[in-house]
Amino acid sequence: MKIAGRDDAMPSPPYPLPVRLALALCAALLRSYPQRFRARHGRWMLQNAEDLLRREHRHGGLPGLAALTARLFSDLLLGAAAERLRPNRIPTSEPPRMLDALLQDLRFARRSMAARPVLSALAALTLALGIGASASMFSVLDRVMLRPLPYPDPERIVSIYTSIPEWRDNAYLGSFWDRAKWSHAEFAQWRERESAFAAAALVESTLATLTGRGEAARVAVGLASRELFSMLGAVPVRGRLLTAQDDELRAKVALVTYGFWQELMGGRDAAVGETVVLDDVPFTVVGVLADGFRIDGFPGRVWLPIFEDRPHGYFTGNTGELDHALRVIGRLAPGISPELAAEETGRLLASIGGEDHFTAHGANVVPRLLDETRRVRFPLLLLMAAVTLLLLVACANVATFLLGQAVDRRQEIAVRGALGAGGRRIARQLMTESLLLAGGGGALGLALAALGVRALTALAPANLPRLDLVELDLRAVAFAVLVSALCGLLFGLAPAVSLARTDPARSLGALRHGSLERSRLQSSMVVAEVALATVLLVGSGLLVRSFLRLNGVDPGFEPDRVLAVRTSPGAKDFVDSSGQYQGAARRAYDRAIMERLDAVPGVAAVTLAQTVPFSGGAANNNVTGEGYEGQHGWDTIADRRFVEPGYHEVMGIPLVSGRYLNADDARSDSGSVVVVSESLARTFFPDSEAVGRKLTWWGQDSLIVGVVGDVLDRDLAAGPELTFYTTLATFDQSGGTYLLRVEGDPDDLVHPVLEVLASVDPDVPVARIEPLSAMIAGSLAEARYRTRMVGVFAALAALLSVLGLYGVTARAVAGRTREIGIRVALGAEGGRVVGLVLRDGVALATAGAALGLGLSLAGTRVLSRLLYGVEPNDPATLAAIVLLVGGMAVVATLLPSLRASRIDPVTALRSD
Amino acid sequence: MQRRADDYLPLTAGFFEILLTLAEGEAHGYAIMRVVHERTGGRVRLLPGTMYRALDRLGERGLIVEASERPDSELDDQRRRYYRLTALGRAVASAEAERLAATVRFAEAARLLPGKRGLLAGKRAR
Repeated sequence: MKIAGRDDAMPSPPYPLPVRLALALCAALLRSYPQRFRARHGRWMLQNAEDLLRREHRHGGLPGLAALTARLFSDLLLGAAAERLRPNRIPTSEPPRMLDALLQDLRFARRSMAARPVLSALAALTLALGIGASASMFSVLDRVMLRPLPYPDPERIVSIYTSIPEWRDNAYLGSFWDRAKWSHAEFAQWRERESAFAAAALVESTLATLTGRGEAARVAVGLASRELFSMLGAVPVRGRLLTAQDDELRAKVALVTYGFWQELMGGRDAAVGETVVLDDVPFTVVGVLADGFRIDGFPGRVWLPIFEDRPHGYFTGNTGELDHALRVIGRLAPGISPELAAEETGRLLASIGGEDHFTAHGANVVPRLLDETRRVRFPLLLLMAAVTLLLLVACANVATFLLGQAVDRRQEIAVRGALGAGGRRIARQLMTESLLLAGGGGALGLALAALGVRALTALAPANLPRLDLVELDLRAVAFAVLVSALCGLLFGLAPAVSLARTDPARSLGALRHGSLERSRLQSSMVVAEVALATVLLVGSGLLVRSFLRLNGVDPGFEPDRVLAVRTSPGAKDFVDSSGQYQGAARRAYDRAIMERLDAVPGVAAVTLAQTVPFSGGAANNNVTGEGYEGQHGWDTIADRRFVEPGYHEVMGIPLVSGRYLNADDARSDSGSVVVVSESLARTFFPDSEAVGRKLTWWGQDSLIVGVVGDVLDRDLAAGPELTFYTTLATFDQSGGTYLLRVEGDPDDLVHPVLEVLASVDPDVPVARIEPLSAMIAGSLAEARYRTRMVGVFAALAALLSVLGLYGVTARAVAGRTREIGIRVALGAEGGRVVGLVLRDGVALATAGAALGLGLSLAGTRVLSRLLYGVEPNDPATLAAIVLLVGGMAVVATLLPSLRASRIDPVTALRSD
Repeated sequence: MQRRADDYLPLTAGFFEILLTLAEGEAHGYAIMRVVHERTGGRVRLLPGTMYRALDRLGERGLIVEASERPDSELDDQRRRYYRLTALGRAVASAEAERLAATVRFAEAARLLPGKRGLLAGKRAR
């Protein structure tokens, strides 16, 4: 290897490779010293570095060598910078002291900015935009995904899932094969034997109706083993946490959150010992959790101990001993990695499990923070990337401005140079100006960021964890300061270096000529700007198209005409004398309510369904068709919908063959019948009529009486699920959401409906009332958010690059006044002159757009997982963006080119 | 314009360390580095970038000159450039040393420096 910069032919001894690499680095760095210095000392410096490196390698090994190399790197780099900036004139007077010089620089910078108020303000605003946008986006990103969770040793807190590899290839279960839930039985046996965790707790959340404290309301209830609280370092501000005694006694005790205590218990000390009534069961409050206690994903405001035998009522729903319905949070034992813990847990689970296909054969241990943010990580990073592009565009824009300004200031700089200001002094002066500008832009940007954070959080979809905690805090301010400083350096460096090199004699003598190098730098800045903006525009265009596609998807029913109303009556009204819950009583209650709702003017029909589309709820069964022997085995899973007759008519789901469910089907003695979706019929009866055949599910057969259209009811981007419908009564099911088919706007009926409900039963809280279309829109919230945000960033970037292009073209016209004057004098027509200028501007934009398209094609592939129905290289989008950028270029250059066409040759030629 | 030794005071630490090293005789760059490193107990480590800028300045101001180029018998057979103090350099170094000594005396008078016993006790306590 030839070591660069080594001036004489000294033979290179056979040193070890790391030493030679370090030496090569030093030699390369030596190149950055001024020629005079290098000629004089270079050889000896390199020899010294060699001595040091060899010695360090002998004594300190590789780590020592690495450390020394790093130090040499900065030592040589700083030395070179200092040497380069050193004035090469002999100082005639003592240089001013550091602080004085700084103050002088600042005063001067302020004056020179005040002399160009519009330009400076525009530059500062541009920066403010970039910094404001990135600081507010950073605030969100930081709070949602970077900050450690508020527990002691938060990195050891993990979610523990079971995994069931057999599910992996299943269309329905595949997405959660390694995020499966636990049963009480599994947890208890595993916990007895495991050794990887310092603590582990079962957790689940549910909703319950809270009565006796103001209006009846639905509250989020957390259920957890008592270990959860100590594991997370929870502290009671009043009372105590849960104890082993609570468990032994199956005590009806509750912890409440600080917020619950303040809002619903008046923040009284005496709150401990009071009762809270949840679904008609009284629980004694034994403690108040400190403000700030939270487990994202578990919104419980009241926390109850979790018991396998559900001693305290109905609402604890799905937590029977063998139900796989619970989640587990644990604290890793010291020195145990998540992988190791997962390995042990998986092994134990496999030995515990039974024979059914719910048996876990592995485990998945995920740090809590990663687990909580797994859905939002990618979209957030994408937005941060978008905002970074915007910031770069802003920087490039300001640099273009400053470079242009530098051309105007050559004379001033030349005069100062001739009067004895050294290159370093001038460069420092210019850097001070850039930094002042960046500081101003940063301060303004922070103000914008305060607004930006509010906008970002207000528009954000609800699935962002910790969204409520997002604020413009010290870290965001520090981020903004850092970014401003970096920007200042970034866009200040080019003009400073370029100007500091100005040769006084040439600049004073030959003004306005030979600025080719600088204008080339400016042009490349503009090209970069347009390229970055193009990337953003392409990304945004793809997201918009994808969103429009998604929004236009036909869900298979008519959401605009349906109002969903869910109430939450307590269970106590529906139990018989022995305390047994009676589904029939609840159905009768619901029918009575439906009759009242049906009478509301504007309501055409009413029905009831246990789960409604886009409500997040789902129920399903393994199914198979009569005589079916195809490839779909037991693992074919279909959505199960318990509905009242009339459901399909209200929802507007078309009948394909057979008939809809009717009132006769709802009699409990009628034998079970089902209506199936088209895709289900196709799956099991591909060649024959499904009506009249049997569907096997839940261990029994149901007669298929009708086939209806497919419905998308969870995710518009996914295909339809196989679905079957049967009546609530046949299987003694009850409860659900009332669905009202309305004439006109469903929103208009919200009030009348609420009045009717209140008149029937004032103690029953309304958990939800909204048009189905709003629920669908809710499912698109995240897609809408990122589409909107990337759109905003792209629009800003486009605006900035138009400004940049305009600035450069205007300047070019000003610089070519003389040339254009001569052309006009020689007979060039206005149109030709316009064409001349336009051509230059459009050429820059074209280069930028081409570069941008190249970058997009390379980069938008990462977008593909967020796109629906659009390819990342969608030609229509790309073409549209190219046209848009072309249009932008014409807009940006039109004004300067018109000005050029009006140049008066006489004035132009006289001006110099 | 002839400058007096006092005009160069106070010296930066790096400059003074180099002059101090050369006061004991000629030395090449690497030797200066090692001597300074050892004398200061590792607190001052001159790396090439810093040191050659200092040597350049000291040479420019006439405080040192390049003595000769010859191999160091203790290292290897490569030639090294030796530096030597000029009379002016020696004068500046001793003026700086006197300035520092005076500063130390003031510090003692102000009871900022412990006596011998105090110093040892302090060391043991650490």
